[in-house]
Amino acid sequence: MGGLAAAALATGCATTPKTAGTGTAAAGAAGAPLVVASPALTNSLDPAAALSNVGATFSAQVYEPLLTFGADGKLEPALATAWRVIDELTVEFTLRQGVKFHRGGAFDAAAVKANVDRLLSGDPAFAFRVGQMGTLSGAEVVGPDTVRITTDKPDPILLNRLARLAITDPAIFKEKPGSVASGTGPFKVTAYAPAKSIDLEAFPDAWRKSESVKSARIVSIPDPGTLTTALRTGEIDGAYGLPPSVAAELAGSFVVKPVPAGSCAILSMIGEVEPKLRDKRVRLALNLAVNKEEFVASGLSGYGEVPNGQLLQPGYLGHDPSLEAFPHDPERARALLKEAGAEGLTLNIATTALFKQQAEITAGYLAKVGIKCEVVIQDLSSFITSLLKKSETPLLYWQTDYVDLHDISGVNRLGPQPKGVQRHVEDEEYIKLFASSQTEMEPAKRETIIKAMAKRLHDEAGVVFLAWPQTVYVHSSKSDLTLNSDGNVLLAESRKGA
Amino acid sequence: MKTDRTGPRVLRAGAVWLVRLAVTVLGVLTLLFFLLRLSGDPAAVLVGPGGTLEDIERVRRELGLDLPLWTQYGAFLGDVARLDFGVSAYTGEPAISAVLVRLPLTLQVVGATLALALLIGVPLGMLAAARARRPSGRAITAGAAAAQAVPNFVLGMLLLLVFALWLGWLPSYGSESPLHSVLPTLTLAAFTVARVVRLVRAGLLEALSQDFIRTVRAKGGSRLRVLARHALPNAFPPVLAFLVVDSAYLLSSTVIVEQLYAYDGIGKQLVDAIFQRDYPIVQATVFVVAVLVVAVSAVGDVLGALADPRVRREAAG
Amino acid sequence: MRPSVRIALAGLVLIALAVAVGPLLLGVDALEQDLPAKLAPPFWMEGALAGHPLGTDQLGRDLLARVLVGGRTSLLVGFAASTLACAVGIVVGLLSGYLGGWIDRLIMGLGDLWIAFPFLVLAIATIGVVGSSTPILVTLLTLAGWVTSARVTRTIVKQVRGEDYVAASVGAGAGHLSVLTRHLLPAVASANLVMWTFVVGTMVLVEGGLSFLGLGVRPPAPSWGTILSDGRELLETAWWIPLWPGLALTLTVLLVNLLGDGLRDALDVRMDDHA
Repeated sequence: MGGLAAAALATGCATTPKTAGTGTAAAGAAGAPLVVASPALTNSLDPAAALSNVGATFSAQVYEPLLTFGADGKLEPALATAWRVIDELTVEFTLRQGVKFHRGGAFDAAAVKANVDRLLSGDPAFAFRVGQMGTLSGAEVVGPDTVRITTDKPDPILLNRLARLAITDPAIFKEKPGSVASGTGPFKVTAYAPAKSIDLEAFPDAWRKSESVKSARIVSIPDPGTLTTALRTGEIDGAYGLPPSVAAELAGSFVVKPVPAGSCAILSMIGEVEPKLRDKRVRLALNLAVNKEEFVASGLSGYGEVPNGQLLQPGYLGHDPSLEAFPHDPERARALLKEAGAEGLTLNIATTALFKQQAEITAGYLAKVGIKCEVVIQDLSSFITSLLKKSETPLLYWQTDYVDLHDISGVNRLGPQPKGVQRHVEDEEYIKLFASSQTEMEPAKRETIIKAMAKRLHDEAGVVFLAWPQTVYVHSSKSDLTLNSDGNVLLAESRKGA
Repeated sequence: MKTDRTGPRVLRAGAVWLVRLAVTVLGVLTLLFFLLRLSGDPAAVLVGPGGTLEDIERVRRELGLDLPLWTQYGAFLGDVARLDFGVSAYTGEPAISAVLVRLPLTLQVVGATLALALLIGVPLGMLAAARARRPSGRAITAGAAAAQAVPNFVLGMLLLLVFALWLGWLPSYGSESPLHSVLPTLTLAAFTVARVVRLVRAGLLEALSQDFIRTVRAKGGSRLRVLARHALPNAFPPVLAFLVVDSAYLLSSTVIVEQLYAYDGIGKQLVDAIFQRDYPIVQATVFVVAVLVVAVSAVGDVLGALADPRVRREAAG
Repeated sequence: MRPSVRIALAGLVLIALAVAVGPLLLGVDALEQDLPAKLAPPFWMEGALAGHPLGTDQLGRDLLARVLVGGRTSLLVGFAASTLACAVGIVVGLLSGYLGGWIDRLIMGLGDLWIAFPFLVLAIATIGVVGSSTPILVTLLTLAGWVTSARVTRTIVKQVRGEDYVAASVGAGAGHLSVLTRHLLPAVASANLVMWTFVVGTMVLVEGGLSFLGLGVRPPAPSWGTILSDGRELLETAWWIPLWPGLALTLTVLLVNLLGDGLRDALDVRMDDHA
């Protein structure tokens, strides 16, 4: 058999699937499962305990929220068919009827309330989701198909938040946390090996059925090189979450789909660590020092866009198309640094191993305008502490994700901070604008505020704007992966090649 | 007369072993407890980069991390005594079962590596010593030196290309079948086998120069025969000592091959847990590894005593 | 001196010189990035760039300069850590094996404790508290590596202690120190030389792994280990990036092996009869 396989390769059929050890022979009559891989798997089958960056793809197949973002970025019905605002603190939802959980129970208002109550119970496993839900304070059953959601203060983006609240079957709340699943989505979980694989099977009673894919498998392959090999041998059909350099290598032989990641790669400049960064001229100089086009082409292998001097990408509320990107002008950067008396400054960049190369490229540009710059790699726990509490290094390279909330509120690091916490942006005007964007309920006024924030951050050169990165999906030309508006695979609308 | 003494002696050895186990495990866990808490915050990972300081503090309270360190340590020792390492705050899995589920896969790879070291490493080492001055012996020695100079992830990638992509004989990732453990084992074994080859060779050459071997040789024993019969027993204990330590390293350092082949053992789990500051998982893994290390170490001592010709001579006399 | 020792020494001195003086002679900045020139292949291939004989890396930096400069850290860390680890191991192993009794048990217990302990936790905690520097790195790697050598040494000492010539020496009234240095040390030398030759290469690689986790040298400063681990993703297309540090490392390890074997033979003059 090995000889045959080698011969097949020699004739160029690199993607011929081989039975050797795919280990999924159990898929049975329904045909082989569609296998998608990524470097990391969800940490939990419970969507309330799943961290956003690793859990979203899994959740999107098995669970559904009340409402969701459509292709145009507007909210659309999902498990709720309609909603209306009762007062500043209350929204009423009319629920979709006849929806069943995988375990057979009916989806109703009581289930929604049970989900909200559990989330607010104080279990540390839900810390991330609770933070995301922000103002959410409770739920109230009005009728079997009507539920009211309340907040403890007026929240202009409550609906955005609720789009991230995946509804779980209350029947499994008492079972082993994190390792059982029952939702309303088009797929149910048939097997789970933590950190390794999740087997899915189409749920026949779903209100939104899987058309072509009957069984699927999400696996984790941490090494990009191995993932590439597995794509080539046909052991996997598609992949997501790849480093851009690896995706670029695959572009020749596979279909590569980049989608906007809904985030902005920036350098935070912490004035508390290096007071010279409080000088606008220095901040401007750093923005001018980096060649953003080259950064996107090399650091992101082309999978990204040069931002026009603001955080939000087009399509997000408050994006201002009239702003302009900072040009690459090392001469002027040097002059500004000289003027500010900041020549020969040492500005180290902290980041995580994931962004090592991007941070290194940035450091290379800063070196060219005479700034001494080393990259300090931190593990996730330490880096988040640097980000949230106190940094030892003056610069932080990270990506401000606003895709989750579809709103500038996601970039709360740059907003007001409690006493004793470092400020990423010290400009009072920006902080004031941010605070008012959090309470303004009138959408048109709110958009004006967010545009004013963008202008202010641009004028103050409040952060170093580097790129709007893209998330990359790769699949063989025989299969097809469809993505939802959040940039997650929708297996229900995908297809496995023959 | 001998049989009279065996019983108590075995009992005594068993008791000594248990004390050693308890002291070692306690020492490891204590050191681990304090170093882990010195170096990071699980609440930060749970809350994520979008969280706030209050979120972190709330999670710390809920996890009991705001209590004085000594209180936490006391509670921890109580839990260890009941073999209860708690539940991973990150995955919700009970820590000890999360480790035990993955342990067999790691043991399989480590065991196979040790077997290869003995079955291939020792004979090759003997050959290298027997032909120390001939090209074949030099080739083996040089090959062993080269094998340890190739980084294991480079070797791993090459094996993947050849066996998974070009030949299609082996799966490239996963751990569902014994077939899946072939590449991880080969990658891991390259280092260990190379070391054993060179240790055996050095030990044999050393032994060959000793007087009693010279006497045997003077009596006309063939070189290979002398090597196997007389020199090997002398050269073997250091190799054994090396393998004991190496198996301990292998147990906790299979992470690179596990990462490379998405092989679901305890190595990758441990490293991920360290980075997430998932205390229950780290503590349970280290506990299991420590027990195994003490066990392997004790077995090594017994085997060493049995293999040592002088000890055997004493026993016989 | 044997020819093999001479070759090995000459080779290692040459490498050390190249690494120490080479970057100065070359006059190319190992940190200077030039993104349009990234991933240029070495000189014999199509697309090679003038001034970059060994090619460039992902950031368009000159690989020759990076391998030379990176060798400084790698050789320093590799040799210092492996030598110290073996030295500590020999001393501890000699004491443990020679003194026996509870000291032996204590030391071996410590050894078990140490190898069961995850090195990564130690490294993260230490560097989190005192920061990262070459001496810290060498200390950590020494701590990580001493047990192998100690256990092997102890085993050999236990074997040899019973030998007639050692017993005779003790009987003749030789002091502990004299027995240790004159009889036991030579007996453990050969196995430890073998250990040492392994460890040099391993330490260079471990340093590379650690710096990927932010625990080794800080980017953009190079080391062989970091160039290797950064280049691994591109093994299939830009294979020359891992090739050069890999070759440098392999050559160094081979020379160290040759040196180790030569020294072993030189210590053990009786070997010659068996040639």
